[in-house]
Amino acid sequence: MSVLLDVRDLAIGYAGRPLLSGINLSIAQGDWWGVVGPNGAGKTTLMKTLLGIIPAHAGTIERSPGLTFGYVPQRGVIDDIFPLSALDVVVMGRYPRIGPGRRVSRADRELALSYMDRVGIANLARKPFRALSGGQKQRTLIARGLVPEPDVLVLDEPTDGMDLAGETGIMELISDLRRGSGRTLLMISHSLNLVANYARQLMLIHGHEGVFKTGTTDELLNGKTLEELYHVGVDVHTVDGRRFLFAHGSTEPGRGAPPWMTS
Amino acid sequence: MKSIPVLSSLLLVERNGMTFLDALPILQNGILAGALVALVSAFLGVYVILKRIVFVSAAISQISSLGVACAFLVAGLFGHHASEVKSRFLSGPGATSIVFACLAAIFLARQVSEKRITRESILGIGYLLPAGLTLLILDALSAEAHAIEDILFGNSVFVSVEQLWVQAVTAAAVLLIHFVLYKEFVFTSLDPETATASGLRTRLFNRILLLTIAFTIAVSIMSIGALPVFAFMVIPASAALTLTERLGRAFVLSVVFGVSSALVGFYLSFVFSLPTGPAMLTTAGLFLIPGGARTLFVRWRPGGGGA
Repeated sequence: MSVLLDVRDLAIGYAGRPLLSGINLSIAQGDWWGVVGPNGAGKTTLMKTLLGIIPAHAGTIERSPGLTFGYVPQRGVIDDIFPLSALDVVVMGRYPRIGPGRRVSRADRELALSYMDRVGIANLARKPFRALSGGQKQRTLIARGLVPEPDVLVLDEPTDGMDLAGETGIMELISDLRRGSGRTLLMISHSLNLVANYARQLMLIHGHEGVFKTGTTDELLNGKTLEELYHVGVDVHTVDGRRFLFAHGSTEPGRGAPPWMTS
Repeated sequence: MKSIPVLSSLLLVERNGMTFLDALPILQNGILAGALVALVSAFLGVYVILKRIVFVSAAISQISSLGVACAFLVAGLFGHHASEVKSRFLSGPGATSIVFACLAAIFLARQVSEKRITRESILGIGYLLPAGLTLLILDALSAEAHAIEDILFGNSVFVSVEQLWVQAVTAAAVLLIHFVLYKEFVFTSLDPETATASGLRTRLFNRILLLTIAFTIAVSIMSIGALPVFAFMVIPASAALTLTERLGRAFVLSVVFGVSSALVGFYLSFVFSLPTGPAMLTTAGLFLIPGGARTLFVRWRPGGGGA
């Protein structure tokens, strides 16, 4: 697999406030990365630095020539004051490709509609974005992230604030989309249980303690590594091929997991 | 087919021995300038409301007014009379108004990362300090204050041909920029981070957008005064945005409301001998009624989410 993004000795943070340094990372085509860590650990800061939204404090980020990103922000960042339909929002993903002074073509709209169809919201195309439910908004933003047909899709907490059904629906959708295209995915989540069953690689980050680890999900999802990150005991269990993580205040194996799983 | 008699009766309304039709040749520059300012300001106002930068435009408007006052102050120090300064639009108050407004826009486009002072505080200071300084300058130039107040508060009925041209060229240039960069301005206003991640130069587009707003404010203040310019930036767009779910329609409605307010306000100011700026502003306010009524209806109808 060809390397799309090569990060060397990167230091991240906001103006005048460094958060984490010494980040080395290599992202290849077709990777499926989960970016996890406690709240305020620097997950979003790292992704925004990789995307060029905020500047790096130090280090280098080498992108393969012509590399394009699709970004799916947390749905709360879209201000409901804007009178836009769901289709308007999705078509926006094509704007950088269309360029200044040129109008949105029929082909751009049809492409946007086809991605809305893929994420299951084609029937909502004309509906005002602000009138959509949380899950529908999230699907709209995923369609917008996909419509420029980027090499790398970055998702920031796509299931934040959703109920179990919504969370599962979004994760299955992301998984299906990846399976169909082989696209590289980076997904920020504070839910380890969620990421554990979908991502192949993990970035574990805790900026305030200088922790940054990368590896496969199998390598990193173990009690020792997670205890270092979260400072609580974490048990990892596998049932029918699915991983379940349980946190507790002790490192004794088995505590925190329900009896049916430890017996 | 009663529109022609109605129109003629409106045009033949007499004030001080002169009908509105008779006064048109004298007033036409002012009317055209008012309509042009309303058109471009109401268009830009949609961005002002959507980007939640009403107080940025208020601060720019005040800083631009300070630029006008400073031009009169400096000219006064060199012994020039206010009417002489007012007649030299491009080299006098127009230039200082534009420079002050654009510098303010560049400064205000910067993101504040300092925790101890908020963006709102900076905008408050940016509004209040220039307002205080402008009043002090007006006090110092008390003999000529009336001429300056005409500019700042919108009593300027008579607009020179030169000023009208500057207004027309400004409106054309600003609308052309917005036509070319419409998609980029909308995307970077709605979701600047995603726009940046997608490869758009968000900072550049944000700066250009703010500069078009600042330039329009600075030039327009010289035509119809600071108060109506600020009103046209805020009221028509607010009225339009309460009436539609489509961004394109919001721009069209805002422009229609703005231009109508300018024309009707100008007419009413002639008929009832009212100050022009406040007459236009108050007329614009009437366009808030349909949107307000719609909002109340939606809120209070059964199942509409009201109490």
